[in-house]
Amino acid sequence: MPIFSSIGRYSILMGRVFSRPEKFRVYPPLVIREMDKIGLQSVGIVSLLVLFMGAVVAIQTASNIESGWIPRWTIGYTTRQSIILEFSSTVVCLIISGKVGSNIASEIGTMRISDQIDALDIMGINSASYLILPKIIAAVFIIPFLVLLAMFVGVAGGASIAILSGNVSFADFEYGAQYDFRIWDVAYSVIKTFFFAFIMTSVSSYHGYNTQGGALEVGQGSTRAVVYSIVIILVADFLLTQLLLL
Amino acid sequence: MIQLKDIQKSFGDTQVLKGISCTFETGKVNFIIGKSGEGKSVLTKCMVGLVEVDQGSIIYDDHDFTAMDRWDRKTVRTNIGMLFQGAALFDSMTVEENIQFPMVMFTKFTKGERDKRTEEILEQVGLQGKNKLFPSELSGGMKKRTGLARAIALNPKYLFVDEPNSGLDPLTSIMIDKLVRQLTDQYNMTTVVISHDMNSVIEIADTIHFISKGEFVWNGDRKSILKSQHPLLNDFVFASQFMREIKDKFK
Ligand SMILES: Nc1ncnc2c1ncn2[C@@H]1O[C@H](COP(=O)(O)OP(=O)(O)OP(=O)(O)O)[C@@H](O)[C@H]1O
Ligand SMILES: [Mg+2]
Repeated sequence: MPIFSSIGRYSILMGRVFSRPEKFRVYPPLVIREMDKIGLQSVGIVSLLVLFMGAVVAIQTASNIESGWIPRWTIGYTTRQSIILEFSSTVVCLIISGKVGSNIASEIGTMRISDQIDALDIMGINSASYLILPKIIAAVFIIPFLVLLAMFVGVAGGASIAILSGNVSFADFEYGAQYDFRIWDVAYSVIKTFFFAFIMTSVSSYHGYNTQGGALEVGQGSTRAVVYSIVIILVADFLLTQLLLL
Repeated sequence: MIQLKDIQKSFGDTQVLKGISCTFETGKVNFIIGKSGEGKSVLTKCMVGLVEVDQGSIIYDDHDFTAMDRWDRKTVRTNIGMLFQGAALFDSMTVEENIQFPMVMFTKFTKGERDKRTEEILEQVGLQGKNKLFPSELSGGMKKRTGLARAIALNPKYLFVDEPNSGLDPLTSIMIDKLVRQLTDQYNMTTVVISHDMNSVIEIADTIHFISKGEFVWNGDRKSILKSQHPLLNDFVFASQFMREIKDKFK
């Protein structure tokens, strides 16, 4: 079964990634560089995305509660819950996977086919750890902050647009957005994000690291990296939700 | 000195290396020549530990590399330099950073010491003033020089060179060949060159091993290679019209 051999090879690679690093002090600058690449450079796209998602959820909810017996403040409540529980974590991570995953897989894949990884190994450097560990650490650390930002921008953006378009009053939204607020929901989302960040970086690195062939295969590898990351994130989302919310 | 004892390696059902034994002497430029697909690259990868052998041992100056674990191998590895076919420079680093990379990873050199050593090596390979260029800004010959510079950064005892001339014009090829020769003498390294370029062989080889179907079927020096009667070797050496004419003149 190819899937079991893939899981096996993935596990072996992760074992190498987390084995004792060569020289500790070369890692912090690498982690900082990756945080910039993975985190800061995604702030724009993430903000834009949740701003519109927040607005769309707010307006859709507004248009669905025409009948008078559902209170108007449900708009604020629904927007907040959807953004915090699912959009800010899962959807944002899916988008970041598309960007960061293909980036990581093509960077590592290119190093593989041009013998740069062999060059590291020959020098006696644990190439898996040197190349992959900084990316995983950076992502697991920085993506939760992106998600917190997404929660804020999504809810605030949704509110602004719903209010400006006259669908709901500020007072209604404010009440709904605060109604039954549980900090656990935020924690749930952030906890999921740790897993998603690990999945997207490690799975994409795996696909890059195992590239064979030439430029064509690098391209195919980065597509596969994104597809696998997304599917595994969705499955993990389902499992984590069962585990954490029930 | 590097000794190979009965190296065997198979991939699936195909045996690529069928028991290779030989000695590569210190201070010599040792060539492994042979047709495409005969196992030269696999043998090199076995020697540097990128591929594990199925059987046999690889001995670096009395240290059995094959029997070592990862941490013991590291000490041998810091004594190995390798120039890859495509140079394998780190794209994201400048010439200078590429050369300093092994120093940063394996030595306690200060910035000043690293810079000093870098200038020294750049001069040896003829790349003064190119410190800040990125690999994408270098020509093929300059990439190979940078690759050599990185390979010798830590004064290695062993140098491996895979296809030093692929993709280079004849003049640049000879310059790279001579550089390999000169660095071998200067650092007293055990150098192993993989090639199918007869020009390089005639130019700088001390000893030559001819590999065919995963076995060393002939060895000798550059004088004897032209006189050899070995049929497979003859077909290889005198594959071109040019070399056949030289042979006729030689007689
Ligand atoms: N990882 C591998 N898996 C399976 N077979 C391999 C592998 N690496 C090499 N081979 C096979 O081993 C044989 C020898 O390959 P090798 O690359 O050593 O040839 P070579 O002598 O270096 O040729 P060239 O001069 O073209 O570089 C080939 O038939 C190749 O298909
Ligand atoms: Mg080869």
